[in-house]
Amino acid sequence: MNKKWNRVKTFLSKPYNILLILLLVTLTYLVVLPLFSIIRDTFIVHASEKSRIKQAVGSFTLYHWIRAFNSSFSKILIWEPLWHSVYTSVLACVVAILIGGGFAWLVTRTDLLWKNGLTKLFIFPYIMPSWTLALAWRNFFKNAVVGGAPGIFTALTGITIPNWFAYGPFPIIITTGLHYAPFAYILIGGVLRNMDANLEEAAIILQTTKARMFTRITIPMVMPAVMSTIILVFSSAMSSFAVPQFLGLPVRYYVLTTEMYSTIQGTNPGVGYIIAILMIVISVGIMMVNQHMIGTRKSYATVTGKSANISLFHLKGARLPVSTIICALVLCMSLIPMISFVLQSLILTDGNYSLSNMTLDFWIGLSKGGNDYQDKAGILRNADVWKTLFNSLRLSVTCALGAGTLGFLAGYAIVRRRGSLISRTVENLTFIPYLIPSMAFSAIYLSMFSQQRAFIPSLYGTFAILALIGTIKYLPMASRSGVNSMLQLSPEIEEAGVIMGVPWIRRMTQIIIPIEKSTIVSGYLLPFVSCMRELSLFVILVTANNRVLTTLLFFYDEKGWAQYGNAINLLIIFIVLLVNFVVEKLTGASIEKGVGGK
Amino acid sequence: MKKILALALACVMLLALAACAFADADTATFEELLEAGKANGNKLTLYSTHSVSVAAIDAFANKYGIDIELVEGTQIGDNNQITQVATEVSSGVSGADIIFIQDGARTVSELVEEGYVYNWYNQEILDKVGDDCEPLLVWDYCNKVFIYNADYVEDGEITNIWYCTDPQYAATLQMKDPEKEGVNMNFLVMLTSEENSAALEEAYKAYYGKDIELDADCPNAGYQFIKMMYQNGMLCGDSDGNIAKAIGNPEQEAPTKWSALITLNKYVKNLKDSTVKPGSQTLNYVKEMQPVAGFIYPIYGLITANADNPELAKAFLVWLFTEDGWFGDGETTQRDGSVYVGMTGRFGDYSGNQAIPVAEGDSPVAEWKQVLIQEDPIFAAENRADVEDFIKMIK
Repeated sequence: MNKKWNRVKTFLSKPYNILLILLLVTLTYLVVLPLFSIIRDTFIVHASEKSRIKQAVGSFTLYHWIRAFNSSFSKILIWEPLWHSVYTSVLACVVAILIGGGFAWLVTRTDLLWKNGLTKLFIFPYIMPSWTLALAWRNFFKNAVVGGAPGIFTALTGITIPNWFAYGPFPIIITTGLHYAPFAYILIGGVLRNMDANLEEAAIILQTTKARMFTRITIPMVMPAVMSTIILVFSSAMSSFAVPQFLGLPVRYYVLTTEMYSTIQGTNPGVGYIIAILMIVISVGIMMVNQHMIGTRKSYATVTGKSANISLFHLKGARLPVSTIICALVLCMSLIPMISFVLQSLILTDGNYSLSNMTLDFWIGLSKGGNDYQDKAGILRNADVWKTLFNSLRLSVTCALGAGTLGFLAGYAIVRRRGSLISRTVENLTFIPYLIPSMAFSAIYLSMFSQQRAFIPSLYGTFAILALIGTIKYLPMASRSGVNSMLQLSPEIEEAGVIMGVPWIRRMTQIIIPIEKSTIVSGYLLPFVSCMRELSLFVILVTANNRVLTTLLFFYDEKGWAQYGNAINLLIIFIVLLVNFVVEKLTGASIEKGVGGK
Repeated sequence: MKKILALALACVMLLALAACAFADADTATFEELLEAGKANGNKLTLYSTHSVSVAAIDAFANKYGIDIELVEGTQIGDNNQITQVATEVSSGVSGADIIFIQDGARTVSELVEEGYVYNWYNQEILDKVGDDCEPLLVWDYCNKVFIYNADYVEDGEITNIWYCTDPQYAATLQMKDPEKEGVNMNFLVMLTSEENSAALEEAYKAYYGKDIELDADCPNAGYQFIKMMYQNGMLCGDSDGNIAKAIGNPEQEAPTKWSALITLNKYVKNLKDSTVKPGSQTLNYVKEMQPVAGFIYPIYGLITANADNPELAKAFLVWLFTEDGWFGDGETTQRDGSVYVGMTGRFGDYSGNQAIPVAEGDSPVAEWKQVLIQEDPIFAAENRADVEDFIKMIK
């Protein structure tokens, strides 16, 4: 008895053990329990389903499962959106790899002009919110049929855009693909840049043709990077919400996320929760495939420490034309969308881009009353906008502090007890939120925290629920980097402190934290930037009281207040770019480095 | 025997309760409510689907010099609002004191029946509003009518609602997606009522010159109409404002007989644009049509069951039915400094207080009610899911 007690005492005397226990409890509550809560939600009648199911609210029913998988509605509710999701995501991967990989090859292996400027601009879409290109597409190519007045393209050229080009799968694939093309560029470019030149030199000596060199050396070398790009882009595209919402809905093209949103907001949330579960299953499946591939694929050493002086492929006569085309493409992805937002936020009557039709009223004007087109104050004078902006900043800071701190502590504790069951369990728990698509995760939190649970009151509509979900969702980012950096830190450094009798708090603040400073800072910054441009994680959790800037944009867009919406979009992009710029200046860390580039 | 007695007793008590609900209006006056509200914390929160009621609460606070801690007027869509109110009240989160909401079907079944919001009016309101105090107090009526591009559709060309199904007008009709706009869905549900589907049957004969033949999946002419309208390529837009711009666009490459079922208010707003760019929007609307020229739906003003300051909410409600509340008094300003003008000059909004005049050029609500379908929240609530499912299947 005494022996056992002593063991418990020894166990608890180690701060990292206490940390692990606390993390285990917290994460079980915030990650595991909600998964059960959402399953329960697929078996009960919700208030909005009363007239449909004709049973009391809260009573047990199999209606949702039958309707989703064994009724004449299954095709519309589940299979069609599922097929649309897979179809657009696969093709978005193709676009991202062709454009991003092609660009990476041109930049690293040829004598392309203006490389410096082009690479900076090419990363742009990745820094910006995911819907940026989709909204820009709509500004340019919307047609009179479903989107009100025709867009900029028709105004300039007089050519009417057909529906398939303006809305639906085609623009969803293109804009999603372009948004993730920087991923492909960073990952594939990293390999190409570090490639062992000896392989190519050997080929040249053997008088291999360029084409053969490309297919037999370059392609196989970049295959692993291509595979990781596919996994990343595919799973991001599957869980993307804003793009299909903006470009798919006008022609009733639903994917899983948009179908889920419409059922949860509409009169059948039960089916929405089933879609959420389906998305989690798919996401876990993708991760398992990924694990399997990493485990079995051949590895290619790209860094050998030998000569890295790769000969450049000379574009010769094609140099200027190719550079110009690439330059145009990069501008279409980066600066031209911005111009469209500026224009749309200035014009009075849609479709007319003459100077006489422009005004700054949507930015700084007074409201002209409910009977006017300009029935709201300009966004910079609008108290609602300021309130949500402040809320967005407060939320981003909170999530960054929460995820960053928790992630660092988790990293510390996990590494110190590496190999033990509890450490493995906590490590896996911190990783689960990464596997759950944002919108499914928020559906889970909606079902879990919109009622009182034990000592926790209902968090519905509060700042706390957004802060909680943001912290947990971004935890994997911070804890991954925490674990990795702690692994590199030899435990002897801390042990020296232990021997000297330095208390834990001082060991942390005087030894560990100073050494790990840069990791900790990036552990805070990534969640901050992600939170600032997050939409799908918050859109079903916000109410009128805890709106953030991104959901305000979404609301304005739903209402059809185009000018105000475009102005707010610019405001968000401006803040994201500003933060990114400051971060880069302060820490020297950049998004590129974050995903393994350079 | 005992059981039957108990049951009878329960019935009597229920009846008595029901009678109470329909009994006389609250006797509290505006002044009393205002005083009580000021004493009770001075805070008022409003959710609304209508921008003018949001402006109104601003003006109300300024006008009565109430030291209001926080006036929160928030405009949110009806679907979000219903979910939000239901969740907040049921879980005891403090939210709105008063809500202005459309989509009677969902409001009745999800909010009123569940006891999350209740209907309230006092004698002052009853005197002004009369019948529209029950079952739910109507603050504002809005109408959606058939509006067309006057360049390409002749005045008097559209006279029968079955034109929506006529191949001649294929893919020219627009409407905000009924799956996103509850009141539009309710209109379609109302078309399937016995009375309306009978009228549709008659109109069909008048339009096509023969008796209607129902498809196997259509229980009545209402369903048949919905099916034929969708299959005739009806376009589902994202907002009435954008639809008005789309159909009124004068520089059309291929002249198209555009028309749309949208709020009369958006018609006027877009006519006003023409002052910016002369001749830009050429719109007109149909007022006489067989059997109906569109629909009219109420925006209700209701108090939440967990209101922190029901007195102030009620005082605000009373004020809204006065002329000052509807039009502003020309002086009172809002937080952003602009003068509150309320519904001044606004087409397509009609106060529950019918003594308040409508905008110049518009018709009084009584006249509109004659030619438009009215929303019956009870019927719509009972049949909504059936029609929603029907539409999912025919698309």
